Amino acid sequence: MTSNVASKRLFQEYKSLLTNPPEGISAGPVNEDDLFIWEALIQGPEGTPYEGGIFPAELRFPKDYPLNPPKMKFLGEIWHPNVYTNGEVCISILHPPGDDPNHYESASERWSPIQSVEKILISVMSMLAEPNDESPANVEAAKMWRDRRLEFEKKVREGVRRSLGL
Amino acid sequence: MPEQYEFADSTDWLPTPLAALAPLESSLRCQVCKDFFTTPMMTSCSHTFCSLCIRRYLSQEGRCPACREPDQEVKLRRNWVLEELVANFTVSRKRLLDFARSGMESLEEDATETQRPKKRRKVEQSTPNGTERRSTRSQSKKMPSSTNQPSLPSTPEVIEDSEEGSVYEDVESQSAHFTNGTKEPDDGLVACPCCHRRMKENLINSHLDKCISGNSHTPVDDTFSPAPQIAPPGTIAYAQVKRSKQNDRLPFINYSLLTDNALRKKLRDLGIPSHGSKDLMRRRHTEWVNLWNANCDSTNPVTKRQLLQELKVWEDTLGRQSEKTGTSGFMAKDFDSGNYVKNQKSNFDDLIRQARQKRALASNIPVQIVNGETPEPPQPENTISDHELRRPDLLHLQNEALLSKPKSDADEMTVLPPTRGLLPTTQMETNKKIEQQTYPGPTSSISTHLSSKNMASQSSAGTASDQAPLQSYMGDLPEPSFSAYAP
Repeated sequence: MTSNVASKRLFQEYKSLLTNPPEGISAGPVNEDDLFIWEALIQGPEGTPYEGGIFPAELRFPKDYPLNPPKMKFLGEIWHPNVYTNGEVCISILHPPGDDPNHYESASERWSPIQSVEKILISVMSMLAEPNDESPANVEAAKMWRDRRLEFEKKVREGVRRSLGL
Repeated sequence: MPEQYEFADSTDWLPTPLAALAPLESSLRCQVCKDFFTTPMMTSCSHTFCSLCIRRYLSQEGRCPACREPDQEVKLRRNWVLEELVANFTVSRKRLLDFARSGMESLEEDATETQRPKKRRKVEQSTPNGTERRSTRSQSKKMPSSTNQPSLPSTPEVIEDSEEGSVYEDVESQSAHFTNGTKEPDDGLVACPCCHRRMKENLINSHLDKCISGNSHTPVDDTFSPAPQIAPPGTIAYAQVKRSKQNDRLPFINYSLLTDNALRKKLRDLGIPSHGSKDLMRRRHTEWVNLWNANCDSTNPVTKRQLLQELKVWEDTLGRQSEKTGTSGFMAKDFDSGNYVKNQKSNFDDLIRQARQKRALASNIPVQIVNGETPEPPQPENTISDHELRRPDLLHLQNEALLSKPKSDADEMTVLPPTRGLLPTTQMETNKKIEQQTYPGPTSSISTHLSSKNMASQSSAGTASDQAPLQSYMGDLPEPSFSAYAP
């Protein structure tokens, strides 16, 4: 039952992402037999150093989704203050409301079952545009973003170009 | 098993001429499971979710998923009107959708026949008739340009409609036009607004009087009745009034007050599996209470056997899975709190030390020794820069807080981080207890009693079980709370 709730809801979300996709985002299960692992493609937002890049990411859903949030991990390299070096994304919408790993996020920003894959991906897109250096997952990137912005942007652009095979 | 369901969702309407129904349908769906509401329940903050969805979330987080106001499952109330809306909508959904789709096809055919003019100007030139031109212009102005349905062939349709002189026709009335196609067959009969049966116009008034008072014997012609199986409005809510409640709701229990064996006995008494660790038993009991209580809410309750089947499905998927990962607690199954606390312990300790030093420096009062830790000699500048290297985000914040706050608060700050970090689960439980205690027992049970009378869903049985969890949460006699349950 519970797992049915999860897979049913995931299928619903998949369908609505197919019929009514938000701009710059595409997502769906890697394999339709397992609805709990998704792959998403996110376009780098315009006007940011990530512009022009396409960032593949993997979403892993818990069996009790939507009670608990999925985990999101970028598959390629991405230099960003809120992305761990292993690609894991650290934003408040992906944190369950019961705990507060950084001890300052307001509950209203965190995961709740009324959020959705679409909202997560939109949040990640805006995270790319506006890094949050108050809770850096990648401290080096955060420092560079804060102190040496030009160098940061250069590094990001290089990464984007590399990922596109240019 | 996705194949078993028809994965209908609100976006089905978007490519049809009835795209306006998409938001209507999504408001008839639960935001948690994204399905149509099953036994909709309203929280005390007036948000509505399926009974099982909200019960599961409340037992995990104790908050409303929408606004995160603290709430309790005993305060949930039925939302009859919504249940009725969903029931009536789902009955006619398929035919409505089929009709919308066929309407779209016929429109497309029309469009190809008339060669679908690309510019309005062309249409005007090709139609010398004055009325037609006027209606075309008004129509195209009202057509929302931003609607992302390129397949909607607006202009040709309008020209045809304009023969009826419909100058004011716009998108909405166009949709209405389609609905009317089914609901208002041109048979010279009129539909009763109450029961939708069709009859001659001269009969309608006398029928309506009787229909409203509930005994309609007017002979009516049912042949054109658009939806004979649709129940008359109000049936769900009012049919339930006299339904006797055989099932009492189960109370939650304070698991920390029970030993493993006492909990095992409780599970056995309830007739559900009693194996596994205490944590598994606790989660199983929580799930069972949710399933059971949601079933009590339901208009069409299922048997205990079916509930046990659902519990088994839960056991096979979630129950076992969570045990393997060995995480603890209601909250944050994926958050490795233990590890986090371990990693951050040095930071917390440093913060405590720092704050103590500051206080000691400021007041020159000897620092109290707590937890057997000895304060180090004051060296504030050094420690701060040292920490900033290690964990800039956290310390940055904490330092600011320390600097800006008055000295008395600094003392509080020293205690706060470790408490939060060390035992997140326990603290949430304590919070819950505090929340429970802030609502005085008697008052709240009186108010629930009154409102449950109003809702007519849970007459006297409701109060007994409403009161019970409060008692058990406060630590008074968890035993009697279970006497309410008879298998």
